[in-house]
Order: sequence, then C-alpha cells, then structure tokens
Amino acid sequence: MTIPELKNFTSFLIKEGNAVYGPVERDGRFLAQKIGDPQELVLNGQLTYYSWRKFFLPATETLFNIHREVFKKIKVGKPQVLIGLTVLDLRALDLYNQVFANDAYYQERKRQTIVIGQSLAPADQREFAAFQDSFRENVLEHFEFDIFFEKAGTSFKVYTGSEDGQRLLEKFGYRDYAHVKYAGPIQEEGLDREMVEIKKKMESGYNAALWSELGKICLACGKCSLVCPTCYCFNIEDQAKLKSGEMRRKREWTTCFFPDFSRIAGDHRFLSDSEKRIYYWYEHKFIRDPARYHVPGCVRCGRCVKACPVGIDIMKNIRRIKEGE
Amino acid sequence: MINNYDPKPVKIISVRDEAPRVKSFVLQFSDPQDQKNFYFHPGQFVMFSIAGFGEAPVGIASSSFKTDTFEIGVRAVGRLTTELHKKKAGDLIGIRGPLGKGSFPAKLLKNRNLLMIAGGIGIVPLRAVVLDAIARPENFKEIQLFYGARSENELLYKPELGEWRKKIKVALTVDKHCGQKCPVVCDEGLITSLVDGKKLVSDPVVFIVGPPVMCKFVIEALHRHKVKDEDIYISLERHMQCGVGECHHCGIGPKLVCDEGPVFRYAEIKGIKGAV
Repeated sequence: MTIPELKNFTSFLIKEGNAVYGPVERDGRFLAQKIGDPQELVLNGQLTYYSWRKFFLPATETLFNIHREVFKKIKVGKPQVLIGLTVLDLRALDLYNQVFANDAYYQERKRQTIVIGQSLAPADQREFAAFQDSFRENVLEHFEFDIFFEKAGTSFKVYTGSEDGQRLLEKFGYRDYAHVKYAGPIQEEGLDREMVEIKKKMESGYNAALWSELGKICLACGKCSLVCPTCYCFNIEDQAKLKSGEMRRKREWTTCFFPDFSRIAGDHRFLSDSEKRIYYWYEHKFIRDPARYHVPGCVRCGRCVKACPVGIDIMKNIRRIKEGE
Repeated sequence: MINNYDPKPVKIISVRDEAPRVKSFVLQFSDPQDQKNFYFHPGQFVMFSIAGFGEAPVGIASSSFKTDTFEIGVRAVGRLTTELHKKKAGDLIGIRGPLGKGSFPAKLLKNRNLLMIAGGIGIVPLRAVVLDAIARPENFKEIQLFYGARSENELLYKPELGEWRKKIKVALTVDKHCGQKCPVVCDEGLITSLVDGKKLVSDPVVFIVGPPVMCKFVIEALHRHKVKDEDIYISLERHMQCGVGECHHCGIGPKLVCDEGPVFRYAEIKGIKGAV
C-alpha cells in the first residue's frame, strides 16, 4: 500500500463513521489523537509519547450507575479504530488481553476496537531507546491485531490478523494483503528466555544495592506509570451526585508509587517508602506478570526513561539485574 | 459474560455488637438463588459494598455448613466501615464473593491436630473453622486456639467462648487486663508467650490470622517448637480494590493475595520479599 493509498484508507475509515485515532505530531511529540484530517496521521514507526492504554482502559470509567442501591452496568464505549500501534504496543496488548480476560468492560471495549499496527522505525532513527526491536519472522502471529502495516521502502506491506480487518480492506477495495493466523501470545520455542532469566535473578534477591540506590533517587511521582503501556493498576471509587441521589461506581488509574496504594485498615502501608515502591513496580513487571500471564510485563519501549524526571533508566537497571550484582 | 464487579444485594438479618467499634452482621442474599450459590471455604473473603461509599474485603465468620445465612465481622475504621455500622436489620448492602482460591485446608484436619492463632480481628475467619469443627467433630482431631486481643473489652465472640472451651482447647491473652471483672479468663502478655508457654497439641497444622507484625513473631515462636513451614498456613491482609486479580494492589512477589490467597502455605511464600 502506498502512502497516498494509506491516506485514502484513513479517509475511508473516517467516512465509514469510525472514530479513528492515530499518531499526530504536537509540539515535537507524537500523540495518539483523533484523526480529523488524514494528512495529520504520521505512520513513521515512532512511538507515541503516551501509551495506547487509555483506549482499552480509560483513565477513568464508570462501571455502574447506582440508583436506590441497584447497580446498573453501563454500556461500554463506542466503536473505535486505532491506527499506528507499534509491535511493542501490540506486545503490551498481549499482556492486557491476559490480565483482563474475564473483565466484562475490557472485553466489551476490545470487541468494538479495530487495531491497526505498524512496524517500529529502525533503532538508529528512533526517538526512544527501545532496545528490543527485532521484527522477526513469525512475530506477528503472536499479536492480536486486525491490520498491520509493515514499512517496506516507501510503501507498506499489508497483513490482516482478523476477519474484521479483512472485511475493512475488502470494503475499501484493497486485496493485496497476507493473512496471519493468531497463534497465541507465546512463541513456539517456549517462554521468552530473557523474561525467565530476569525473573529468576530478581527472585533470588541478588540486587539489594540497586533497590536502595533507586529508592534514594526515585521521587515516587508516578510519571513512569502514566506513560507505561503495561501499567494497569486501578482504584475503584464511588462518586455521589448529591442532588439527584444518583451515584456512580468508577474505576480509575492509579500507581504503586502513590502513598495509599498499599494502605490497609489501621493505616499500615506495606509500601512505606520509595525503595519499596519502585521495587514493587519492577516486581510487578518482571516477577508477577511473567508468573501469572506468561508474557513479559515490560515491552522495552523506553517511554518511562523519557518521562522520568530524575533519569532512572530501566534499560540500565535490567542490565544490572541480569548481571546479578 | 459474567460481570465480576456486580455486587449482589444482601439483606442484613441481624447485627450484634462484639466489642467497641466491632460488629457482626448476619447476612442473606435477597435472591434465594444467590444464597444457594454462595458456598465458601473458611478463609475465603467477600467484598462488601455500600452504594456511594465503596467496597472493602472482609472475612467470613460463619460455619461453612450454614447455608441459609452467612456472617461477617467488621471493625469501623474508615468511611465505609463506619457507614456499615450505621446499618440495621432489614437494610441492604452489596456482596461479591466468595473470593480467593486460597482457603484453610480442611481436608488435612481429618488426620492432623490443629492449632489456630488469632490476633485481634483475625479471629473472624478462624471462627468459621471453629464453628465447622463444632458442627462436624468427626472431620477433625484435636483442636487448640490461641487468641490475643488488646484487652478483654476487645475480645470478639465473648458469649460463645465458653461453649468453644467445652469442645476445643482455648487459651486467651490480652496485652493489658482491662481491670474490670470479666466473664472470660485470660493471660496477660503477647500471643507469642502463649505459643512459648503452653503445651501445643502434638505435630499440629497451624492456621495464623493477625496483624503483620504478630505473624512474624508467631512464626519464629512456632519454629522454636519445631513446627515445619509446610504445616503453617497464614492468611495475609493487603489493600484490595478489585478482589478478582486485576488491580494488583495486593501483590506479593509472583502472587496476588486476592486470587491465590488470602490463605497461603507459609513454605510457599516465605522466600518472597515483604510477604510476611
């Protein structure tokens, strides 16, 4: 598919009545925003500053409207087309699909979402220091997507990953695609070896010095969580609209860096300082996600490195964990 | 698709004062089918909810053989629990559960003696085990309960303790005697002094529920009795929002307390940083 054809395809998606979101450039950053004019869409393989999480797990969403103690589930979301997720973002989606496999809200939203991926820009041209970038054979069959654009010179090679994706392309009048059959999130050769290695190293507790060092510099501001494509922790809270007597139960993003995250009755906090909180963040990604969902809890996009105000570099820290100091 | 977040309405059948700021609530699902489906193992928990105030995890205090109602015990410490304490018989609240795959291993107790160690409000889920043992003694061998509270005033289930003492060995301790004449006999001192000072039932399986700092010292005391880590089961308390393995507030190493717990075999979690 040529670039003009891609613009036409985007126009087609918008004309079909879809809410289309994709990377646009704003003040030197790429942000996933609603596309009004297809000329705005930039599919250059760069990562968006924020992850795509909000399209699957909104920063705040209503679970129930409550009226006279009766909980009424709200209808979730609207149909949306997301265009421009990189392979790293698709890998993060693999994790979300596992974590929220039984979540009615997530699944309903997922059903209404068309995911269109793109390959990552080559490492030397990327703004982010993502260090796992190989676009290997077979990699696509482990991601759930509808359409994927692989950069090939000045145009794109087109893959479909679902019938929905095929239908859209056919309707647009484009047939030169290859279909990739989804083979589950785990590679044929078994669990991701680096994931297993890091988990083992962290569980044997070799890196006490690293955590105390990070504890001293981390501000516990939570910016890394905000941009991270694999962070998904949330709170559930009730909100009363006093006048009408109506209430809502909502869930909203939170992060383990916030003081109340681990607070229990009696004001005891299990994560009482920055050292414990940043360890918990790494533990979640490198021990718990692999143990529970068998896919890595970090996709190496490097968004957190860019966001961190004190320059904590997850790539360096992973290297130190692996060296087992 | 089942919505895991949907609280089912339950009716408060009765409310009992147990201690200052602690009440027991006997509950029954409004829909008889929900009540019929509510089958739990002691150690599991429920999320109770009041519209406009939120949700929190609490232990189930009644016998698992009692199927027409169930009971929770709640200390009023925050906005939600204080609101619950205002509720009266006939009021409705919401319940999700039972939750947690990790419960007390009842099957073991047919062939093994049992020692239960409860601190403070930790007696709530262990009461379910005690009542099960009283209801079906043929499923159990020798049973011993060590229960500690701040003072006699703070001991829960006082009217029942006499009855329990007839069926199982009970030793009570308080941090400090309240000074008044009390209907129950108890020692003064930390719960570890009961573990150190009393003769334990032989080769016991041990269930522990209590505040984090108590658990640590109790396990050390059990080690002095040569109790093996494989025989210790501990219920962990953590902050929870979802109760269904998604929000990750309750993580310990590779596990989530709400999903794989709240009761864990100590041998399986002792190596996890910050677990106990």
